[in-house]
Amino acid sequence: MFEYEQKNITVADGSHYRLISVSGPLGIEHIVILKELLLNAFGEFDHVVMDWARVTAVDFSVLQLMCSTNEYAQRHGKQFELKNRFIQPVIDNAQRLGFLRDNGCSHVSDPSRCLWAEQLS
Amino acid sequence: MSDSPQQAFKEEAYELLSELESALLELEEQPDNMEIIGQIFRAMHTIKGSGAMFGFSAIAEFTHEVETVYDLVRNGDLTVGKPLVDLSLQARDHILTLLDSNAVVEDVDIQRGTELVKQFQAMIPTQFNAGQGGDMATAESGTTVESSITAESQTYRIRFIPSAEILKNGTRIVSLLDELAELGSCRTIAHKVRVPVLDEIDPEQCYVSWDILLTSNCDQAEILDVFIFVEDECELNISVIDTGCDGDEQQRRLGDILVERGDITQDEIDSVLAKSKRIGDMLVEANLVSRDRIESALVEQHEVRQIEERRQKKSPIASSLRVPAERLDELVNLVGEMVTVQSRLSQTAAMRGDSELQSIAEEVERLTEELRDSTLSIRMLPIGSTFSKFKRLVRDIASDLHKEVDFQTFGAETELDKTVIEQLGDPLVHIIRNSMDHGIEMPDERVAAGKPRQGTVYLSAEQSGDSVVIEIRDDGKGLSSAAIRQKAITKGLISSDDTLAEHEIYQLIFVPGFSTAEKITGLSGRGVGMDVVKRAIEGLRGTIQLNSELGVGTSVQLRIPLTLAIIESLLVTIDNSNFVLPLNAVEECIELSKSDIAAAHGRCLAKVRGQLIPYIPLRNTFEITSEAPDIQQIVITNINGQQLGFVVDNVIGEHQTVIKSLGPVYRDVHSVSGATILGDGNIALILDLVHLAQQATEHS
Repeated sequence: MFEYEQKNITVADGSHYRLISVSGPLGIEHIVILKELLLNAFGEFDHVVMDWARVTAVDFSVLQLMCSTNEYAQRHGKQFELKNRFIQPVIDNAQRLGFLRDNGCSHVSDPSRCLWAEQLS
Repeated sequence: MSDSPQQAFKEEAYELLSELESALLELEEQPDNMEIIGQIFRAMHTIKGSGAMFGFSAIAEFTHEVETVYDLVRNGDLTVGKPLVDLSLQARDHILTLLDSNAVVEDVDIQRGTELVKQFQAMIPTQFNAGQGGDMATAESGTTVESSITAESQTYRIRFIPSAEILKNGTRIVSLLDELAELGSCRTIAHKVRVPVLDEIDPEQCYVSWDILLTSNCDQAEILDVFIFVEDECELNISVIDTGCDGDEQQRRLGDILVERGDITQDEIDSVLAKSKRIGDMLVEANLVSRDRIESALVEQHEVRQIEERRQKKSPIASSLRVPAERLDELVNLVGEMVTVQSRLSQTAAMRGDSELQSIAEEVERLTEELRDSTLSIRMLPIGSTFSKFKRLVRDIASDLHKEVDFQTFGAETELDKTVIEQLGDPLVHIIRNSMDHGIEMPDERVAAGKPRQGTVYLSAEQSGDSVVIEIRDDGKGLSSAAIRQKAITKGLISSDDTLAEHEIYQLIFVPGFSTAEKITGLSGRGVGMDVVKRAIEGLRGTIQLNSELGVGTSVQLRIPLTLAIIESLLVTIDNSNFVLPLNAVEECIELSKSDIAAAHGRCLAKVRGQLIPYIPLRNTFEITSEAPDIQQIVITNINGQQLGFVVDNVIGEHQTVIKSLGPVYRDVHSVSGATILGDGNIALILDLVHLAQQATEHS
């Protein structure tokens, strides 16, 4: 079952970030909630971390939303981290959907921050 | 709803399940036939793949288990026997139940599915059992496909650009890509350049497009099949990648040649090439193409180089199109209206005597006729699609009754209008059940009668003019005309003084309430059978005939018109009223003078070439009181093998009749089966010759 938990974290250097931990299968039925969670988080923080450690499956719409979020963060000078994205259920789908790549997409602000190229490095 | 991908999947799945059933029954007879095994595997595979794509996960998961077993059969690791066929038929029925449940699966169905899966798993040899499971199977199929790449393989570039709305109707893109990957070796590249940023994205829309490089032995039609349910919701471009002739390839070859000749070293070539800009970089710098596209092209180039043997094979592009049946019905209605208007045009042109208008009217008539024939032919389906259903029926009934029956079919390719085929199902089921239950004897009984243990039921179809003749024949015990006659007397249907010919006695079986069965069984013999069958056949404007020989067998012959929408007919008049008779029943027209009537001494009999033919004066039937002309016309017809005349004032000629229903108010009027609109706007009633004949028999 899809669940999420949000925490505001303060790091030792005094900086803050929003941690959104999600669990269960992530699909199109949760996509609007996910978008709102991320938009709200970026409205309040410059650094947002989403943790997928307890995610059991993701579908295409979720992967697409992550790319959209990553580019949004870069264009607004913010930081987006997607922790534990290289877990088996995610990697399988990302590969089948052709998201995994050698180099980041060339059209984005910073190809080196591609979420799906890191796997290979 | 009928246009939705889910509905399209269901329609396809019903067809596949029907094919699956036929294939399983054939497999039982030919357990080593690899072609049939492959057919079963492909049907299962398509149901699984498409089911997963359109949210029928219970079907996909269940079918996967069955498919796993058939993969072993296909690889020769498991042999086919009756238990596997039995179980597979049950699995096929279970998939049908799941399909009918519209993805809302009841607990009882889940339990049934689990039981079947256990039985399938129990059939898997131990050495293959450990690896069973979803992920493992995927990996296996991947390996199989990789190893199946041969010299005949070719590489396709598939550009798939889904519409933004594709996710909203439940399409799962990953399943689509998976299905493609199962055709061969696949490299998939997602293009995300159109994905908007977080505050602009509608997350339920699809902004990604794909380039897929597929190396496979499949043809282009098979690739198109993968996209069949989303073809209206995507842009699809499939091309065979040509190899070894681009400039870069030629340059490399030149280098290779020079190295081989010893004119230059590989290092020297590499050093020179490193200094020159790559074409991709130059194109990106010139803003002619995005880096994204270059990367995709490089992947393609890499793939192409890895495959050694490819040849572009000309493959026919799928030329079939799935259209909802309602649209075809609408088209037929429109053509019907057009036929009526064309008839009016021809009539007007003839009346005005304008040769130019007449020439145009003739041209329109010719084209309308072609359009009519083409439209009606679209609705024609081979009757064989229903034969497989009966094969299963015979198998199951034989098993229930402990009888041994061989079911043979002929003429499966014979075509009939789809509406007719749909309405023919129940009557045929009933007749076949009767043959099995009352006709075919128990094996020992047959042996004692000097017959083979195994009885035979034949089902044949063959076109005869504008009708199809369907015959159901068995080599069972046949019907006792004496028993039927006695039963009819007991039931008060005839009196003991009535003299009936053999074929007339058999017709008594079709009288409501008649049953020859000694006891009522679960299959037939409730006395509510053959009269209903007869009504259904006559509802299709068909006829039914029964012949039997005691101890030898029974044959039921149905004659069904090819179509129910537009028929060729004979237009006649009585006084100012117009009537049409179906032309397929008409044999000839002869004159009937007042002196002929007088010579018959009040009996409605006409002497035609020395033979007496009874006739029905339709003027009396329809209570038309005006004086009949001195010379009337008898239209001689053949109904159920009997010649019968219908007396009318004038025969106008052949007419294309677009059948219109009379509506519920006239449902009790049996003498006419419908109406049609003539070119001048007048109405003509379509005569129901069978009922008119029956009515006349009852009155006499």
